[in-house]
Amino acid sequence: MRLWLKFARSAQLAYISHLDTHRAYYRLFRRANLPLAFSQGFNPHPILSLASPMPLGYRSEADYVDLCLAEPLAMSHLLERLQRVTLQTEFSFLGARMVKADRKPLAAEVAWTDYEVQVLGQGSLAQAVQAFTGAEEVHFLKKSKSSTKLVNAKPLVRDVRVEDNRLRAVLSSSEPVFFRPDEFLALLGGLSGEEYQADYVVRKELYLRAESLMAPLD
Amino acid sequence: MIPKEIERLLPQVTKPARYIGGEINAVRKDRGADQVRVALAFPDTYEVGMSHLGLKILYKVINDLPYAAAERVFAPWVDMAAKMNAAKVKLYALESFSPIDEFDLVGFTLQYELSYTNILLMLDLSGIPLLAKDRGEQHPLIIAGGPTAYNVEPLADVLDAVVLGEGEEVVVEIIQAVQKGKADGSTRKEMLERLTGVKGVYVPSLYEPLYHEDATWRGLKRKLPHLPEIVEKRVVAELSPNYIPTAPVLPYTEIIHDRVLLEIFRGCARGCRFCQAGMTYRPVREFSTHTLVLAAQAAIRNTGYEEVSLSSLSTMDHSGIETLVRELVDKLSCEGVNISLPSLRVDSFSVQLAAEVARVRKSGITLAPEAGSQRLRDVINKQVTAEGLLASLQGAKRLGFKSVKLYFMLGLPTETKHDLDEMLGLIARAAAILPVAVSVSSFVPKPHTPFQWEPQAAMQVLEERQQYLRERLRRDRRVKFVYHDASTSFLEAVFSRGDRRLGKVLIAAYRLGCKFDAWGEHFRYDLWMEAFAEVGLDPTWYANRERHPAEQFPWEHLSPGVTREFLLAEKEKAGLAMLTLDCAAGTCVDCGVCPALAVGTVTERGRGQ
Repeated sequence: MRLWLKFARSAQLAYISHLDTHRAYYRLFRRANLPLAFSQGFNPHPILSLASPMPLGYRSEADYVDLCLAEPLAMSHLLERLQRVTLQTEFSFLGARMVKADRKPLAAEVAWTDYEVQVLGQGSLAQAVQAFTGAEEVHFLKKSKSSTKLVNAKPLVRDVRVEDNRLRAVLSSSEPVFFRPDEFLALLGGLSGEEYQADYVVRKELYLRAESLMAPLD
Repeated sequence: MIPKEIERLLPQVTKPARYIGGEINAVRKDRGADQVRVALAFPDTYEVGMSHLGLKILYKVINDLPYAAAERVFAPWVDMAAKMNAAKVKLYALESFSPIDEFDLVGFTLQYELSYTNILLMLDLSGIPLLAKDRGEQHPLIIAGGPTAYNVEPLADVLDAVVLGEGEEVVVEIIQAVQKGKADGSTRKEMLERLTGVKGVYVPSLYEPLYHEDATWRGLKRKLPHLPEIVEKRVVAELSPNYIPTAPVLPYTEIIHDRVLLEIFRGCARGCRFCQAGMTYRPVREFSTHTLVLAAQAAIRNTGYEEVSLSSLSTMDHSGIETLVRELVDKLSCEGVNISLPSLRVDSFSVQLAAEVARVRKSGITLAPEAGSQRLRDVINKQVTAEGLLASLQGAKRLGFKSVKLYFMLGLPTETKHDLDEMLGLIARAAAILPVAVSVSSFVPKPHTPFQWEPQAAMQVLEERQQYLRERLRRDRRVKFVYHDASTSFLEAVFSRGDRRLGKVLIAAYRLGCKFDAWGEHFRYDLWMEAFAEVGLDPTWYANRERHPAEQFPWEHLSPGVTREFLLAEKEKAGLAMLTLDCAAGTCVDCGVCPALAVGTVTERGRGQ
């Protein structure tokens, strides 16, 4: 039985690494006594993957886990157990859906990430966003380990607005360009001639590769 | 929520998950007006401290009290300590992020002498004066306990109070005394005097040390008439299942022992003459198989761990070990839980049992013959023979183990080149059976052991012997050889039998920049020697001097219950290479613990009869 599960983590847990997060979910499922499926082989490990890794320091209200169970479990039992083991912890369980066994890993289907960025010193942020929305093309230098190239940011931003003094943006998080919120913020700074600094970044939602924005549990 | 000023530092340091708290099973209590707040402080990194069983036990015992709350605090790594200093962020506890100096009690654990400078580092980062005499009414009481509390004089100027022995019961009495003191509006001085009424508590500032003209210890002068002359350790007569931490805090970042630590018994009466724990944790008290199986199941349910490690001073000596291991495997293996046996006794039975529990991969086993020759093993009362060791290795090979790790000590009393040659012979015979990794440490004479009168071999001698072995093992491809730095063992020897005057050296070394001394990359032998010179004390006088049998020691007012007569008799038997048998097997060896403390050996086998 294959499942996609959604959790939120409290802001306190922004500083645990991807590997630590993975282990935390694994132990959470063990405490919930889920019948986990294990890979075959010399050193069996649970068939469990996180949808999208995040830089250390980002908060997450949308952690997705792609999980295989060795035997079917009634959905009501699953929900009850996951709610029980997350009670009074820094994790909240937000929902689950069953998916077909042969579907691609969730990580391969995620294409967009919705971020909320609390910006320090953001007087002109709304104008910068307006300038970005109005422009035909906005280029920036995308740096990777091996190269630096000029990339048009317009197709990498699906939705952007300033909301209660916070920047909300849905950015591309799949090949060919993974657009990080700090890169977007630097680009906006370039448009207004100011320097914006993120106080904190929250991942609000992930969206699948599709025509309209669709979250994994939609 | 993590306070902003702390969160700002996290992106700038390694392993920030050490500093965020918020773990599963962490206990966050609402603050009551008359609540006693205790910071349990471990003077080493998060990964080391979180692996410590004693911390888990006290955390549970205190948080089970409705009128008290325990939080955890560890030594921040050097990068974080520097950032905190620069940003003027005070050291805080992981549950509430409250600064340590807001607590009523700060309880340090004393696990090893080389962690003492970290105690100073943690006090300093908390804005708490390093010396007890400089603290005021607004400061917490700084208390400490643990193995090296039995020779605590070097820390006497730093600590307000010291607790001897097992903490489960005494910690509750201390908290109650503090609660009463708070309610009465007692001063700090009154509070400490009140604490002297709690059995097992030593308040160093109420005693004045006296020395002979030759600088040896003469004794303590009590400043108040009612103070105990000798403070005796606390011991829990029968271990209650209620003390087992079945819901330990589950770390996010990987710690040293990232598994369930199941203490299966306390104490060890094998009587190895170099071993302090073997003397100070007496008598042996076992948990029953029934209790342990229930506790292991609960701990697995509460953590999601995949491994239970059976912990004790000598795990194979639990009188019901076979039944225990079988039942644990039986009850837990279906949930994908492994059982691990950390230390093995040198015999075929132990190897057999280890093979049974190692379900998938049988990588290696660890055995500790400690000394190379039969004569020297008899001197230290390590009841192991070369034949026994080799038979165990044959068995291990047959059962599928791939390698063996052997632990030895260098510089044991009466050791000669001849013993080293025999060690080499033994290693060669072992290597003919399985690949061997040899690990050699240096003997540190410990207080409250039969070897407390012995000199530590001079550092130069230890280093020569290390090289002697290295030269001869270098070309053997079946043998890997590692040895511990002799200078850290030397410093350990100084502080383990130190007196109160060493407190000044400790402060001086810290001021010179010493911290994390147990971490090779931070150990600064040169700075330590500078500190000794500055204070005008000779470290070799403490480490390398043979004591006269009649000499009084600066730890004899702190009693684990084992008598001086027993230790002297054992010292003499060591000289004659005579053995003393384990009392748990039947005959009392007259060490003095049971009558002095009104306790007795408790074994599963004994219970069944």
